[in-house]
Amino acid sequence: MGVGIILTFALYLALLYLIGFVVSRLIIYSENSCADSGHHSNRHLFSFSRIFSVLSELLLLKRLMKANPLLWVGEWLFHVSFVFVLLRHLRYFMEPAPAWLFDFEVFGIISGFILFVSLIFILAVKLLVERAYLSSYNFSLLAMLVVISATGLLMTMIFKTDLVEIKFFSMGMATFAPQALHDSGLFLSHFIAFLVFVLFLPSHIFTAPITILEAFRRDEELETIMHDETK
Amino acid sequence: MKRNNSFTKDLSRQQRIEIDACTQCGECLKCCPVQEVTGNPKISPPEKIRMFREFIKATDGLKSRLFGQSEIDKKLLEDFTNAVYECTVCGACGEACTVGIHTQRLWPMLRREMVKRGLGPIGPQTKMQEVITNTGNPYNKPASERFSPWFPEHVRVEEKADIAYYAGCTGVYEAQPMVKGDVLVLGASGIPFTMLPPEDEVCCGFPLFITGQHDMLEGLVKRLVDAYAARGVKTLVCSCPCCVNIMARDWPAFYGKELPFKIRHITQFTVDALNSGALRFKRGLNERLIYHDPCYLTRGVGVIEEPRAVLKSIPGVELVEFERHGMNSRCCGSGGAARKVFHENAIAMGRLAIDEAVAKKADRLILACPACYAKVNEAMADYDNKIIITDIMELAAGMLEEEDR
Repeated sequence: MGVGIILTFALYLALLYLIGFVVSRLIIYSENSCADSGHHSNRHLFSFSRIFSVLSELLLLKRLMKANPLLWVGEWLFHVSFVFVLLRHLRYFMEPAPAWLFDFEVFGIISGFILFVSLIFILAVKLLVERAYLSSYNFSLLAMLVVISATGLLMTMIFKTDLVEIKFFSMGMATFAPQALHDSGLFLSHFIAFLVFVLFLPSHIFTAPITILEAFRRDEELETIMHDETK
Repeated sequence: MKRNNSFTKDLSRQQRIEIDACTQCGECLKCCPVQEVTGNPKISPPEKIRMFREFIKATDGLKSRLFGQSEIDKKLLEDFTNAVYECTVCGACGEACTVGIHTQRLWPMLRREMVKRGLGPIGPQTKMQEVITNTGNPYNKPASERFSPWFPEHVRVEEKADIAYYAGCTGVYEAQPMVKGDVLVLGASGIPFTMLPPEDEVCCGFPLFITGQHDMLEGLVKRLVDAYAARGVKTLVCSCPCCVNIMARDWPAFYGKELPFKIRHITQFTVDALNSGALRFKRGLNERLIYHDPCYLTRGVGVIEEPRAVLKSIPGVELVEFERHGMNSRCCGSGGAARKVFHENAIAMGRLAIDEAVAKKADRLILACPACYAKVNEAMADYDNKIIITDIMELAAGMLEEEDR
């Protein structure tokens, strides 16, 4: 019971910290701010082609594609597979788990492999090919994700964990009724690395979509600053 | 909890979000001209953002809100100040930014934060406000010398006209062939234009804006806008990319409302005049030209095609491009008012442009910015690689009929 309770409360604390971080950021963003004195056109174009462009800008990480196609391959695969792996984890927190999650099973496992490979690829590109700049923060995040991904894969493919016990433990966390945990060190590593990741969660997860959309709008407006608008 | 030392108060909401959005990916380092000549990642864009995040954390973060603001490491503040002022604010990092941070606008705002704290500006920039107050320009030159040394006698300036020409301080004091070319082309077009008298054509505010000194801006802008409005101006033409940038982007904010006239770059005026037949290049030039895009003209206001159109309309010209051109152009070293403080960086950057122009076997390096003109010429002095450096309007004026020149 002891380890289970400690981990559960550690998760609550990590989530509280995350909520505090998000709230403090929302306060900063909502406080009185200086107007951005940059040029703004009167253009309002809501067309399917524009919506398509905006979505593709966001979902395909087009700015990164333009800046560094090699890194883009790894980063895009990482982001997509990360979302799918997270989705697959929903089965631990839902009882009964919806049918679509079972259908998703194989796809989720494949995503787990892609996630690991993409992270190694990103690290390799940054360390061996680019070598220009890698912040210690960025490197630590990548290393943490590699640990999370590797331990997850090992538990899925080689050192299989007791899924029933994990599900009890997860449901206990979700329902505020902590459960015992007698599982492997592998799961502990996976879970603790995840907790650390939550504490160091990069703020761009919340803000980058906003800045990418703003850059898209800005690029469109650049044409109208010194040229008459053509509608 | 009272927070009187906030680092976010004077930033826009978008800029606060941008600071959080940097992924520290380092893509921007590949196109940063300061990195290219110093190789020092400590003054790189992601490091500046990392340091500024520390300041925000200390003064605006959750812990500071609950338990009070913490002391900011003085060394970190000094390092940040140095990094943000060594930058040329060319905006190449923003163009390469994978999450689209508008750095050409963010850096001046972060500089303003340092000015508020008495850490910026640095070097000769510190005297700028006083000098502009006394002389109307940042070069400490008398207004009487603003136009008289270069203004062609035969060009007529109207009292009132739809079009006005703003020469700009850097052009009139440091790049006279450029402003002379502007006026010759305006005159040759036959389209009436007006100008403010030298004592009234004061600084556009750009050097103050870019160094984070915003106190005087409203007064300067209102003075200039009202003076042009009184002359019935509908279009204000200027050749300096820095002036054009602040006029088009920021004057409305400092004026408090929409400007009563449009802002156009001199190459836009020239293209229109060529297209309408008001202007014709009578002479040709059998040369290979390489054109350097000014950062504030391309990434700043999106004028990319018109200078090329002007050059291509000169008979015999072959135009070649820098590897990095248009929106991706590389700073010549003059940007961000850093050229007189970090002189060696600026010279090294200017020489990169000269080297590439020579390597591409261009006969002439064409510039379109008075600051670039002054610095790249300086960079070529005492340098092995040589090329003819000409401003685009100086060249255009040279293609006119004899009596128009």
